[in-house]
Amino acid sequence: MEREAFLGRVRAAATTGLPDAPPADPGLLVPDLAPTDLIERFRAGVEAVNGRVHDSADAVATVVDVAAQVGPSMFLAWDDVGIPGVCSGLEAAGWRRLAATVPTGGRVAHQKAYYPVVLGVTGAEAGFAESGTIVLRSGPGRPRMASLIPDVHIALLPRSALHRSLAHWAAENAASMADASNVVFITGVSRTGDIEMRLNTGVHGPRALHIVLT
Amino acid sequence: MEPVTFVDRASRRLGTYAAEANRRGAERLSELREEAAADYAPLDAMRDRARAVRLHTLANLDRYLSRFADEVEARGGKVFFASDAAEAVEYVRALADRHQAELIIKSKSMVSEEIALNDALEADGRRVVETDLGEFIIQLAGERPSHIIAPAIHLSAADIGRLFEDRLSVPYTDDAGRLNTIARHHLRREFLAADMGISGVNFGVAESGTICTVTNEGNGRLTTTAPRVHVALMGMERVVPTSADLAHMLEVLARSATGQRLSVYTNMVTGARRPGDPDGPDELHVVVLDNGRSRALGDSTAEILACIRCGACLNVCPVYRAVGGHSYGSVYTGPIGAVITPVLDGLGPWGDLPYASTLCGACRDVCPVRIDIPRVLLELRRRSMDGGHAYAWVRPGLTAYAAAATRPWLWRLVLGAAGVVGRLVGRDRVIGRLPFHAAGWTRHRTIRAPAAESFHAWWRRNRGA
Repeated sequence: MEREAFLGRVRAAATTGLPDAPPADPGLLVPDLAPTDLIERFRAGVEAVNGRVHDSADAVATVVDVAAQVGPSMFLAWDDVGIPGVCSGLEAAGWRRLAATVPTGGRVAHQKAYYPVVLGVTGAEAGFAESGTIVLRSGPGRPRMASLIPDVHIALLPRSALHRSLAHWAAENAASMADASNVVFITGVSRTGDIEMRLNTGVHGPRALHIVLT
Repeated sequence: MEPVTFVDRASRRLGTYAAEANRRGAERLSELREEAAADYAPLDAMRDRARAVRLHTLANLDRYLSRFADEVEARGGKVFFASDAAEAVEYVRALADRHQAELIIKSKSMVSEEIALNDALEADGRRVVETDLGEFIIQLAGERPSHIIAPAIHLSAADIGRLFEDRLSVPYTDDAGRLNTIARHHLRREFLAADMGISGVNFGVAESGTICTVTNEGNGRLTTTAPRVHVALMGMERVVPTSADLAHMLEVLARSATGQRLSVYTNMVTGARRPGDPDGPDELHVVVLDNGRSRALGDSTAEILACIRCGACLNVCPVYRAVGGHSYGSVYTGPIGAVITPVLDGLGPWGDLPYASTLCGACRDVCPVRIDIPRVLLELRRRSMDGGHAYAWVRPGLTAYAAAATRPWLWRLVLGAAGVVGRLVGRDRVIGRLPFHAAGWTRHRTIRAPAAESFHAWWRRNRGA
């Protein structure tokens, strides 16, 4: 149907159906909690959704240690994960980084090489303590697949990027949700209850999520 | 052959494993929602705001849809406005043809069920693979979703094990974890090789053209990332004005659906892959579907378009819990299905669905956008009666009741007669069949025997002057 005809029909209906009452902004609808350690709140939030938080002095060493549980093998990574030395540290430990730029034409052939990838290493630009969520933004050097295809996802998150909740983050940053072809809020590991309501993890996305604070 | 009336479909399913499994699942999801609500005091205030956002959007839907389309197109996406199911299906078929898409992967989309898209694409010789684990299972089984967010909730792990053994040529297992791993490996190959991905849309953001899909498994992200073409199917009512509104709706949606603070993957797509992006689809198409929605928007059922498809109303509904999702016979089940199906598809085929409710109001109490479902059910019952779509016994039955209830002498006479019946049948007994015009009432239910003494008589004896 032509756009104008479609919208004209909607317009005619919308004016007869419902009274318009623009929603007033009630401000932050979240409880006013006593000041608590954001890192500990974040850790509790992440563990509640089957993830792990690592708060160590040497983030690169932590990444290499965590990775050693499933490798060395092949990994996908962002070019810049916030701190230097992560990819080179993994490569020194025997890991091989796969090219993550999908060529125009030959997409399927390129993606089939992802099949055995067990590890993905990315940055994260924000964390929501209450829900244990991290925010990832796609862009040059930041493949979406790195947080999606592997069995294990390691995300490096600056301690300074922790917010109490989605609502607190959105109060300042909501519009940035549209500032990339893809922004994703990741809250824990891939899961389902589709078979007899029993919790199963690692359905299509990672089975393990490690958030390393930097 | 599937029966054509709700009561016949339900009678066939009462007491079956499927109905029982639907009940267990619904109860569990209700508990999770209640725990989330108890854990989060602001939820009630958030629901008020969620309702306000949805109703404001609906009252200005043409403006927000227009802006949404402009923003999607400004970022290189294409928007197609489909008046009905046939137009939507035709657009996707032509697109698949242009891209010579042999393998199409799908993440969960109720709209695609509504327009029966898979059948059309498969008829064209394309392979269409559902990737939500529950949808994948029921696709293999050739069934329909029995729950809006847990589509295969009615099947046992043993059923699924036999299905996988038969259709995927793997050894039988009824271990849920191993079944999950089998599906992961099977679907991984499909994701990475697919030519086209079709997703639903939880919310579209007018100010940015952003499409938000919410999944726990990650299939929504894979479907919108791996194939070179992404097609998003969106009911026209699914827009919200701003990103801030989206952020608000997300917290309400996850808590209401599964009791989660946020779903695992809340995925925002704004346009196709951009220059310099290492991956993502090369093309983005958004199909905006009316298919009866503008008719609802213009009348007293408009508020049902505020629905955000969380499934909370199914989980608390005593009728859904007893009869299961398949008894509704429709794509959308439970209380919201009983209102949205006749509104979208007409009361002709669905005139009895508004009667699939006790009007207890539990659905209204849990609805994250506070839709007054019982009010809409009553409105649809009135229309069903006026249009001659209700059960034949309803009108004479109500006429007889009205005649007695408005004439005190007749009322007392009826009560007296009922007392005689009560004494004959005996206390605490049930009557399986009423005579004459009242037979309709007992065709699908029993009635308790009336008390030997009417309340009027009891009052006179005990409390009277």
